[in-house]
Amino acid sequence: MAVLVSDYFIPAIFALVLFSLWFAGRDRVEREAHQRAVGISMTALGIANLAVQVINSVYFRPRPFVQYELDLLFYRPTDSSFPANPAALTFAIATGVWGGNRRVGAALYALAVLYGLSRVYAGVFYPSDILAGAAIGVVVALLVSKLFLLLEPLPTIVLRLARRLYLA
Amino acid sequence: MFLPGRRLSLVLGTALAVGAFAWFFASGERNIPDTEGGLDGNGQAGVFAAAAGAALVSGLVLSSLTNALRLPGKPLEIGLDGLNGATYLQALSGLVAEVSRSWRRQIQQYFSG
Repeated sequence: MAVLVSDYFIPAIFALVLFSLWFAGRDRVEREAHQRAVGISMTALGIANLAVQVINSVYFRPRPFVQYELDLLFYRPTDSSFPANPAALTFAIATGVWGGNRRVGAALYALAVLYGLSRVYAGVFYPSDILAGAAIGVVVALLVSKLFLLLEPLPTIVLRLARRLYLA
Repeated sequence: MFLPGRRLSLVLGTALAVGAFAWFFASGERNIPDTEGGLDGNGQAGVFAAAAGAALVSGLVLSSLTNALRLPGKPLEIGLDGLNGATYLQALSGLVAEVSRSWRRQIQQYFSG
């Protein structure tokens, strides 16, 4: 459980999946769908992170271990509990990937849920922090996928340039 | 890109990733608060991005060096599929040559017309 709840284990898996997805695909069409999903996920990750920082700066909720006596499985974070940044980021990525590959997206959703539950079990977040973080992540990723459609042909030009450089 | 077989490459890549994971978590305490020298979320994202970039560059360069003699050297199409027939450095040098030829032609046309 200590590994699962760690700041690095599941985030590193998400990073590896995104990196692999960029190159994966049976043909060019499938690979391009994956690459768009990676682009959406990365953009959503940044915006969701920003949204959580903004909310944290105007609303501070103490961590559960401050209010209750708990056996912590984690170090004592000092920042606000609400909304949960890890949930916002993992759900943003899972939603972005879901648009390009349902199977990998579902696996990432499962990991995101597991990560959120492990943080509640470890005593560093309330369930409502995780739910709010997940909602922020999903909504931001859906908005970013709409934004990518509105910004066409820019995403296509970026992908074509990457293809021309043999990177996509 | 290093090995001719797709399946063997997949097995090797997965083994390396799992091995790196196991080494990272088994070789010491990793979950350190950002207030005591650990990385915060933005730092993590930066390190992951740098590591991914370094992995990509080293993979492309090393596979180009090891496959230089095995592959014919001329990509048949653009994009990653072109790397089935050429190493990355061969493909990139072909692209640079093509772009410089095109520019030379345009400059010549401009000054002659």
